[in-house]
Amino acid sequence: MANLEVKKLAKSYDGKNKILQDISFSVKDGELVSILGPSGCGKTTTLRIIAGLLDESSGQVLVDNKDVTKVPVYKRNFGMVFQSYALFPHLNIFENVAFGLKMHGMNKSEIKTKVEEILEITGLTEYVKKYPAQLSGGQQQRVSLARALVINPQLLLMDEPLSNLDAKLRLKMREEIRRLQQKLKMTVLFVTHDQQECFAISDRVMIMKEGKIDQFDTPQNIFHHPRTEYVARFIGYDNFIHFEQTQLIDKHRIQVKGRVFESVDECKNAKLLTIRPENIEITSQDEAENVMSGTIISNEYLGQSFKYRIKTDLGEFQVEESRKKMRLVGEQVSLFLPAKHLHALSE
Amino acid sequence: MLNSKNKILTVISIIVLAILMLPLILVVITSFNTQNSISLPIEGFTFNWYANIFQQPDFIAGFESSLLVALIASGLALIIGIPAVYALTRFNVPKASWFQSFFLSPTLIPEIVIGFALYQTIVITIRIPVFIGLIIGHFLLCLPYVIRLITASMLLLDRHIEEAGWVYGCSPRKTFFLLVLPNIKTSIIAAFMMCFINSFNNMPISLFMNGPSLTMLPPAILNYLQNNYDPTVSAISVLLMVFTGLMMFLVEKAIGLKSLTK
Amino acid sequence: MNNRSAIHLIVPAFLGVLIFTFFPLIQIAIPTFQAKGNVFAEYVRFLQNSYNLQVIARTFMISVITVIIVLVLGLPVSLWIARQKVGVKQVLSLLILFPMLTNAVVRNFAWIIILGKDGILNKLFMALHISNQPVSILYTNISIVIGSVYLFLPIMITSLIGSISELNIEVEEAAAVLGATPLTSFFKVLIPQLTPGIFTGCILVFAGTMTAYTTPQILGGNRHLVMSTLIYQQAMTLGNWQSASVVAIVLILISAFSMWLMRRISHMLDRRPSLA
Repeated sequence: MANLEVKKLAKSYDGKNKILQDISFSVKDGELVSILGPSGCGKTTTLRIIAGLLDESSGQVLVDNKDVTKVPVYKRNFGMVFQSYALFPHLNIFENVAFGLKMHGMNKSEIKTKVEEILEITGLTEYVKKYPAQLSGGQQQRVSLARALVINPQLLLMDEPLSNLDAKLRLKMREEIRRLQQKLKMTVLFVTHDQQECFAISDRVMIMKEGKIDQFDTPQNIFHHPRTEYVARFIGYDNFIHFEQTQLIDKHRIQVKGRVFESVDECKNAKLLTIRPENIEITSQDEAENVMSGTIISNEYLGQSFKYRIKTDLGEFQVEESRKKMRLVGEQVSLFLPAKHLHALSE
Repeated sequence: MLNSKNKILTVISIIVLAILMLPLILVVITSFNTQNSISLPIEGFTFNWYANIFQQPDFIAGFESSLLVALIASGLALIIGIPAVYALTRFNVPKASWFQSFFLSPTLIPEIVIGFALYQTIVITIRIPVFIGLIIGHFLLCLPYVIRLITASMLLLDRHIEEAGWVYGCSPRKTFFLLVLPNIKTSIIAAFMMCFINSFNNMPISLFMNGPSLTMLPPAILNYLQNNYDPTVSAISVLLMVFTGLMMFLVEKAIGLKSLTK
Repeated sequence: MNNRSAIHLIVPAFLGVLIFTFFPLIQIAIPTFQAKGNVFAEYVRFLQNSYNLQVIARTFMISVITVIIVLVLGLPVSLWIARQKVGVKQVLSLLILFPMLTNAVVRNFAWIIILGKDGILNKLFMALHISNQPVSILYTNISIVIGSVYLFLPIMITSLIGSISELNIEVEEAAAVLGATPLTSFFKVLIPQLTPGIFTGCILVFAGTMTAYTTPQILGGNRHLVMSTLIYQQAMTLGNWQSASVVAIVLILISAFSMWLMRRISHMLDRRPSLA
């Protein structure tokens, strides 16, 4: 396995619309990095340029400090798992997995040993003679993974590999991908639009927005310290309080519409405070710091909790509360936003 | 609901289907008639007219040349058509849809005109041999089938399969042969069959480039029909129907007949 | 992948069609525009001849009538077949496919047996005392229409089965729930949805009939020429190449214009907004 370095990568089809705007990042040897973002943010473009399936407009891709930007795709020796799996329909599972080895001119007996070994690891041994169309989605996904792993690639690229699977299988497969990645110490670049999925399996997460990197950090850091409103919204912070620098009381406190809020973060140079729905508490006390009142305008049962939309003079807030009984629409409530969960965002 | 259980629909449909089959059945019956002319009901039963087919040099020669032209023209249309479709569906060819229509354009020109124009230009003016002229004419007849059927299956084939090929060390050329062709096999066979059947059955193009030096089967039958009105025509018609049936059987075994009408 | 490698894949097909379809067409068209004075003189002369006009009118009328009959017969049959169970549908499709793939000479010849002076129809008529002497149906415009209908009906049915299979039957079920009788549903729900498919089939049949050679040759004889048989007669029997070229150009223009017109009408009638 190897490390990957991307330098000032840019892509544009018409010279005007920039799909990627000079992005730079690196992935360490044996690290699993996810690229997260909505469709159209440039995450798949980045992956395809690294794979060599798409030509860059400018910039460089380095693997183990060697420039591979101009190396054609079929000479790069990367593994890739596609969203549609892209298994070869006319080849059986053994032949599918053996394909890369065959292309690299390995002899037959060696191919057999290697393929059988990888089929064993991925739990596919019993399907050797089957064809892709005879397998379930999850099994096809495994074959796709086995086909990538068997060539012992310098880098494994995964393009939304789990998005065609049902929810249960997705959980199982992501655990398995993480297990294999750690066992084989692979360098993996994983593209996804699913926040939970990428936080669960990544060493680091890169959140992209409109062809740029918005935040690139460990899942824990991103979760607790989103840098921008965009990232915050993406990872489930649904409530925002806008403020101006003139509304600052001190380093950690602001006053908006007569109410004082204290944040765990410094508020200087920040624009917004944000909090997750499950961190807001519904209380009875009214006049205190970090408290405001509102009216419930909708209620929803989520199973373990209830979700309310509450109208306040600072806008609409979403609150999740675990409680036996559902509160009714129209009820007047007070919301307590604990300072330790209230984060400041600069943009 | 207007479905297969509707009585009016059922009655109309059965009548129409009967009308479709009846004339062909009558041809079969007349082919066994002992009388010298084609008529019904038949007076006796004989295989003589079938034997007479093989006494007609035009039928034998016509069958051979029609078969040969159909095979060559269909093969040529595939060899030239498939790469063109591949380029149009997989590369960023400018004006791809224009090219697509251009390749289908021979269907817009009446076959009789194609035959006439080719004969006048290629055979009379440029003095290219009639046989080559026939191949060219039948190639033009076949190409649109190839373009249409192969395009349909290329659009259904996951592009990522080729990308996976490249990623795992297969050059683009090799990918085409190892990964693309095997996966559009069905439509290649379907296209070949449609080309072959239509070329083999074609009259208007063959008509112009048909003569003492080279006889094609459909004009030969037409010619025989206009000169001798005897059940030999019925007999050879039956053989052609058997031939059609055989082709359909082969297609059904190989790829399923549904592929032809897609 | 880059574009340069794509061009050489297209070139053979492009040149093939260009050189062997368009070049010969231009080659036969040029002499027809070289009359002194008026470039269209050849065409004017052609159209001033009442016999030629008669041939054009016959060709056109035969095609129109054929399309109508084929549609009226084909629509119920395709509806019936398309909505059968899979197995039955396959067998029935076979019955449609077989005539479609059988040689046109054979299919037209079959009608000589039926329509001829000595044919079954005449024998039937006389047996039933509908007529006392053989009526000549063969070698008339009617026999050409019958032959054309027989030739193109399978194509229309196959084409329509394709379109009908794509329809969502729940739309008609919704209409029925809302009180539409099968007949209303047919005209108000089914036909509007099928408009593009119907026109596609009609264009195929119309163009096919307009330009068919075998049927009018076998069933029309020498006295009922249509444009395609006229081309052959002018060129090969009379050796009048220029005149044949004029007919060929006129035939291309008429059939192309008709197809264009039908496509336009189809777009106008299709009220569903197109996504493109």
